[in-house]
Amino acid sequence: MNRAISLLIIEDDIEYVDIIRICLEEPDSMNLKFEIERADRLSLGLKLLDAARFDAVLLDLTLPDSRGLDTIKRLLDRGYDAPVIVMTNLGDESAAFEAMGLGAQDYLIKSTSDSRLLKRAIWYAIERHKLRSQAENLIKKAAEGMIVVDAAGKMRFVNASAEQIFGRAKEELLDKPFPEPLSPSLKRQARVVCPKGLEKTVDLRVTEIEWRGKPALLVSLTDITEVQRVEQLKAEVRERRRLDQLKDDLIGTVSHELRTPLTIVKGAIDNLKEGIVGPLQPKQREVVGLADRNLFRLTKMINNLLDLSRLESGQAAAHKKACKPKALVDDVVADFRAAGRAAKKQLTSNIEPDLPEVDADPELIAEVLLNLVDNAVRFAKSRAEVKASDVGSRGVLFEVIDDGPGIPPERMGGLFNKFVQVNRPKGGEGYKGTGLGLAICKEIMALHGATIRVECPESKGCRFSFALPRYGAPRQPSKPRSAEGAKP
Amino acid sequence: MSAKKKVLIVDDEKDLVEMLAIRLEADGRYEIGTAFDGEEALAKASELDPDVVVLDTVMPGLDGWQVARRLRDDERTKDAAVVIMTAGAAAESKRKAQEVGAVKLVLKPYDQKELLSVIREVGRRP
Repeated sequence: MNRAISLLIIEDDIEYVDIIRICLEEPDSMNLKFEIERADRLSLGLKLLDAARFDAVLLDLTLPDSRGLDTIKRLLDRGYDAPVIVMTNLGDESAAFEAMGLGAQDYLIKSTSDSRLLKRAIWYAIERHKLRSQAENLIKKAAEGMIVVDAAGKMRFVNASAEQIFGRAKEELLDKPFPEPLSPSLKRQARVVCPKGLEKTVDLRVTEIEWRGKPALLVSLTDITEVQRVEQLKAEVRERRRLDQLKDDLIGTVSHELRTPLTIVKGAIDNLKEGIVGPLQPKQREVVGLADRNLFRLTKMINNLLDLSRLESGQAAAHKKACKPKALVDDVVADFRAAGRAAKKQLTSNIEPDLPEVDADPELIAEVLLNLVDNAVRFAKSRAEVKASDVGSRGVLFEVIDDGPGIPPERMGGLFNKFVQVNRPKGGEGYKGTGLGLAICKEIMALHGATIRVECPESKGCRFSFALPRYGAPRQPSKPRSAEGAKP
Repeated sequence: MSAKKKVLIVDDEKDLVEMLAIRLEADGRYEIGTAFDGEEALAKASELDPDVVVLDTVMPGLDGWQVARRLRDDERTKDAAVVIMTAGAAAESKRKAQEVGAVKLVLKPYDQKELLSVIREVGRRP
């Protein structure tokens, strides 16, 4: 040790202090140097300890202002960061032992004048104290909250983490009873109420220890509020996934199961219509036609549900390849006209010449166009139009435009959600949609990393549009599935 | 011997079989057999020696796919043209239909006219 050891001797016997001084000044192989201060009574000693840090304290138990074990108690209670060595007269070792039980590091018999023994006692006391401080420091700085509770149930020691868990400074906690009933080897969760009503969940473990020579309980606390919250969130996410899966399975199964009776009813109606089971009178034909039209609607809805459940559950993949925009549009328009669905309305297509090929699944895009054209024709006053144009780096823009009543602004938000229908014809007039078409369009667009948009300029007609990337252009990362399709 | 095409209709949904049988009978060109599960289908097939078997997939006991395989593997029925009708997903059903050697796949709910033209077109394997 290079630095001199600062030593406080609290001793009223000036002669004995001198003996110690001489002993300590004797040269030795350890080359220890001491700086000695002396107090002739406890009150002065405490004052010096308050003012400066000492490496060690030599304490006589019998002083003018304090006697016996009370002396060591009063000193230790102040919690100074210094080891205390008790000096005692020959034959009075029992008091020295008791003092050590209270927390003194060592004791010396006053008659000793062996320099080496004295130095060694001081040196060891300092080293032991260092070790103890290190251990205490570890506990103080530990991430786990640590509280020592004495036999009376009062908190005697609180580390920084415990202060944080309780949201209170240790001064507010020390000498107060621990808020939960404790027993040795207890291990459970507890709720801690912090100031401002904040509640925390802690893991609480209790171990029996000895604290300052007396049996006590060490309470370890781990704040698991956050962990629990995360666990709860995880559980919620799992549950939501399970429900989604259940819903998808249900829609899939129901749609599947519905198809069989549907086939039979369709067969029965076909047999009636075809006159297989006898000729129909005009009125009968009308009724059968009505059943047939609604069966078509039901079939479409079931097919849409099944498509959507496959798309939403990620079972459907886009089989992309190079597609000619003109062919995509022409096929849909031709199908539509062939089915006689554009009756009384004008459906035109306007395709820019020499458009580049796009990277798309032709069947899925046909479904999108079919849905959009179906809507456009249904709502058009007189005209519906499909356009395709080159938009440079964005690829090819497809637009489906009608001159119908448009969509009220307040209905734009959820337009692409399931079972949303705007301007549904009243009184059963005309063709009704399934409320699933645009939801399917949105999902198919997501599979293509594209977005479908809708605009209604001054509520005069609608313009649905989407851009598909050129074939061979660098792939853009797909948008997250939850991306909202509607961008009014 | 009659020149009528022999068609075996197999589905565990009796109503479906009946509806289809009514339609085919009205056509006048077919001799019709019916079966309501896989075992019965195999028995009827070896008895009737059909030109065409219209086969449902999801049935209790032997399913349609298994029946199709056995028909193909049996010397007496291997020449029958199997038409699968299913309410399952199109892509997967297509693959399975090929695997079991079916000549055609019809998705439920089918159009009777469409199924009829399929039955008219397909015939015994060469």
